[in-house]
Amino acid sequence: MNQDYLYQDVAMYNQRLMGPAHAKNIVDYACRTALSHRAVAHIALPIDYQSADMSGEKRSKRNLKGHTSEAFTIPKRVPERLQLEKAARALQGKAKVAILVGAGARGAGAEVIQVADRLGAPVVKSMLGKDVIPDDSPYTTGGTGVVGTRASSDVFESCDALVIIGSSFPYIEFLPKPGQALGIQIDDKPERIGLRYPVEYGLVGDAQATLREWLLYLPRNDDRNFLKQAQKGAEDWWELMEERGTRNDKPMKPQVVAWNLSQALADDAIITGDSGTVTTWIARMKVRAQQQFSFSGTLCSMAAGLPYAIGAQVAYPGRQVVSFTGDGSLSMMMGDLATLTQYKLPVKIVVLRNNTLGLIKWEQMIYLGNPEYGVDLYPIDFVKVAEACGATGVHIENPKRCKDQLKEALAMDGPVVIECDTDPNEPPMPPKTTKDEMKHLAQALVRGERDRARISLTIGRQAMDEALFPASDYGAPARVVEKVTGKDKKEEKK
Amino acid sequence: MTASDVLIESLIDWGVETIFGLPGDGINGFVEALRTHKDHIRYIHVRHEETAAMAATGYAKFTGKLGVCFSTAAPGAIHMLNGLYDAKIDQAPVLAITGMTITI
Repeated sequence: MNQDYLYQDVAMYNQRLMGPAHAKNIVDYACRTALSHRAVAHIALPIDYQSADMSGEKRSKRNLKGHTSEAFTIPKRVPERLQLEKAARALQGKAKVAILVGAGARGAGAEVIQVADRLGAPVVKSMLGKDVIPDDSPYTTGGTGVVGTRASSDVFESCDALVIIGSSFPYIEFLPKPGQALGIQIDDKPERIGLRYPVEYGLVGDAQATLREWLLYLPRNDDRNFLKQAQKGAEDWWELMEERGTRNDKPMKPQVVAWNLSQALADDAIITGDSGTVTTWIARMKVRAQQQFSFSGTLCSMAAGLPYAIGAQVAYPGRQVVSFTGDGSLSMMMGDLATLTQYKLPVKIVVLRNNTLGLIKWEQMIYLGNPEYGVDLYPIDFVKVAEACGATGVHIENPKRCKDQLKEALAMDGPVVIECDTDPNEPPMPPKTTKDEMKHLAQALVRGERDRARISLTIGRQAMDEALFPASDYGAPARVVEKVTGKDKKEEKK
Repeated sequence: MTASDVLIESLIDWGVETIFGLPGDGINGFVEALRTHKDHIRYIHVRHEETAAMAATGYAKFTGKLGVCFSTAAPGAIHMLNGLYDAKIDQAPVLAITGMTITI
């Protein structure tokens, strides 16, 4: 097979070794390309050359031995001063500035907070930028997109300026509408400027270095109302998350696992996410300052959680590494549980078992109005699977014991699979449900959805229980009270 | 000294400490060089090549360093693709090495 042909699309540098004398050159260029562009490099290694003896190597005069180098510095570009000044001036007088951060802003958290403070601007985090600043920062409203927070949706709906820092967050229906906000984008890839929002100013540079320079010119916005409003929204949101995360229903609500896990984690834990309804629950987990989070963000591949955790634990043997995954994802790559035991990697796998490909089930209903089909999963006994692979298995199904059991499991030596039985009929609700989505859901139920009774009951209960929570879809009464009196209905009740 | 030795030593010169992969007859010449350099580069043997590529991607995302993975020819190389697309699309620096059998 011609693997260099196969890898033509995926790899930025893609070469077949042309002979033993080519070996050093090819590695130098491959590594430099991958690191310079944060891209994939591929070397196809023909079998005949792999064991080829180098003693009698013949070289051409243009391939002198030792003529290449591994010297490398990560390029940190900074925009020209004039560009920084122009973009800063454009923000003069803007009192409703929103900031969107992505993976490109990782490591620049301190600078992002300084900019947010200067502009009185709430920071919305794409999921790949979840660990840019911690969720206890007064400057962030948390995530965005279908897994995001209501507070972030409100920020983007009402802002008049948008500063994008290191993000190509693709779900543009969640961004301000084109033309609504003045756009400024910081990205070290010039070709990405203007990719998702029609920005007026593109600042091409490394996030941290650029923000440091930009702070020299940025005007201060003394009108703090927009930020305060966002802070109130974030507060409301976390109250709702606490309500959903501390319920004692059975089957256990998936949010209960995420909520308790976030409190049980070490301060410097590395958390790997996965794709499915689990994405929604982990997206709404609070991340702390020293914690790191990532997942297969843009590709959204299932089954990345365990391999990412292997990569993370190998890199940081002394840190707590936790994978938050689902039964669908884990069963795809389950063989590599044995890799954890083979290398004594003490990764903790939290697997939500609801015996369904949950996200697909909801997508079939909410987006298409179809009853679920073809999404059942045979209930795998993950405790036994863990034990068969030489790891420890823990089973959690009682919400009242969830926190204690999670703490115990995280403290165990070696790899542990923590199987949590959760409710398959808990909908992964977007921050604001649209009329179309509700219409489709109703259609799916009417057209014969098998779980219609349970789903209706779940939603009905949520509607009753969350009427006092302004961040809930069902919190319209609370929102009206807040608007009229400026007070929280729950506070009044107290 | 084989071509694979040169490859491994070049990777070590680039600061590569870990490589994720799965051996096979299409890559065993390279695996022998991993064996003879095992004190300088850590080989993590996984059960599926997709895991190798994904683990390298996760490693790169959490450290900012180069993630490296390898596979045998054809099926191994195909298995790695999903993890490599993840790296491509989320911009993680990853180097993939695949053994290749001679085609006709």
